[in-house]
Amino acid sequence: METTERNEHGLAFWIGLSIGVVVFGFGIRGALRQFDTYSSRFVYTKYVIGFDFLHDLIVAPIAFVVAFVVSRVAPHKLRGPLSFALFATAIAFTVGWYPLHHTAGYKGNATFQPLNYATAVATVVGVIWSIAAVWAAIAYRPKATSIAGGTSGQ
Amino acid sequence: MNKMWDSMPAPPKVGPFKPGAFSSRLHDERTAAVLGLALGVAFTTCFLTGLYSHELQHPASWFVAFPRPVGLYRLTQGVHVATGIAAIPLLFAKLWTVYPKLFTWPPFKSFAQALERIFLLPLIGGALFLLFSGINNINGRYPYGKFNFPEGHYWAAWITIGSLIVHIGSKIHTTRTALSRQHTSVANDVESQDDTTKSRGVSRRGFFGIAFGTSGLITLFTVGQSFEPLRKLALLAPRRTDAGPQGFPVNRTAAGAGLAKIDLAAYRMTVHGQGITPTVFTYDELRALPQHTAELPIACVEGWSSSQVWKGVSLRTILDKAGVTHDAEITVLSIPPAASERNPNPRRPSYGSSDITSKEARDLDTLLALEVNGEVLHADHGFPVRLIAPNRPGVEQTKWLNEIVVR
Repeated sequence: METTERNEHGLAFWIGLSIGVVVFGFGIRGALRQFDTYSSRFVYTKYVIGFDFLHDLIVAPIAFVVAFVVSRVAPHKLRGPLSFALFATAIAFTVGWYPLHHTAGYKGNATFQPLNYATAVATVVGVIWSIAAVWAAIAYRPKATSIAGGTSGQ
Repeated sequence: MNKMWDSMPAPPKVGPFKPGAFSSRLHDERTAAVLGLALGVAFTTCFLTGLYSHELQHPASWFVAFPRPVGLYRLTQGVHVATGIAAIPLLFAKLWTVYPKLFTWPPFKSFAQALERIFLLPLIGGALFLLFSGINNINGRYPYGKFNFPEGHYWAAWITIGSLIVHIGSKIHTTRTALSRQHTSVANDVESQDDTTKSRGVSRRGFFGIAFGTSGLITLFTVGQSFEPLRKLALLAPRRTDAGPQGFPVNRTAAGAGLAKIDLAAYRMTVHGQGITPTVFTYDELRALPQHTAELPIACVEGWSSSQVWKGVSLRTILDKAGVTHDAEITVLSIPPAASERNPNPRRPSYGSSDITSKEARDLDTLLALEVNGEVLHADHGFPVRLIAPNRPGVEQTKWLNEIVVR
């Protein structure tokens, strides 16, 4: 552990800290100048830091519970494909959330979110689960048995 | 000094603090290192392309915009948005891998470690904010109320990159070591687990397949909004490059800009400013000037882009006609919104003007476009006259022009 401590907080760390603090400070100074009222600074901080808490307190625990259930319920060979399908589906819904709900910011602009996104997202999810199914099929494919006195060396 | 941290009261050994609570083999240094490396590349790419976009729109005194290569901004902004979207699954996978560290006790054992961990807050929060404010932006959603997206996104990028540099400094040795060997546990409690527990989960190779595979798939289903050969696969993107009047999208429609129907008989384009006598062109006079054709992309800051064939008068032809002999910088302005009962004295909106450097103004392909793809411009594309110039963000390709200011 002491070795890790020495490695992680050796010269490279202090160099990184020195440079990083300058860049970080430039960003903080810029944000403070840009958002010059208490309320705008508060809202900005709430968003930037809030995402961290949102992840640590809500998203990650949910993900761990789902992973726990998958690891207990699904057969060993299905865990990879199932985890992929669930994760990729969640990401697809995250990215496709606004289009799916047609909540474009530009009202009256027909070129914004022009597709039928119920069909589009369903297609993407279909592709994801198809890939997972192929993965599962490969996982369950019977392994070729080696034949004694085979052709190796011929 | 270590004794001081060691003397901190330990949390109850329940939930995530329980030894062995995180039994997956995926919470190890090697997994974290590979994902960290990928994210480092992704965020650096986003940062540099984002800086370029910012400088094109809000140039610092040292920045010089060049009109060539024609499609550079299209490439950099397409990469910016595509990389940001691709990073979403990678970031969640990385956070999954290192999540047990949140419950390490004591939380730090030295001043340096405390500093390192404090910077994780703006690093993770900033990274998530950047990716999700980016998703909001490409969908035209701005729920922040008290701050604007461009400034918020820009300063968060500096804050996040600063925190990332601190993180890289602390992890560079661990990363190199982890990448050169097979397996080391991140969480102390993982080391104590038995092999039966380990076999419950997904293998590391499978986990990388899930993270990078999802990243690739999400990219495949969105990148078509800027990479036209894949446009039919852009099922999750809010734009299609072929959807819109005259076969390509718009951000702000004429109605959205509050413009009334343009009366061509009354239309005038005025050129005025430093050292010249004001010159006025009618629409017919503009059409009678030598016309130039160029294939140029509209490349939006939101990532979508589309290349079209434009025809119109080179800006430099107009400047020559107006007697501009010096290397002037130019500002082009759009027709102000029509007065209405609700808005009797409308002001020209921020997107209604843009600055052009002398180098851009003298480029033959910098056009006051009158046609696109052989047709007169649609109202939503800037009829009667719009600016279209090489290597500029779409928001700077001002539509509905009626005034040119020479500086």
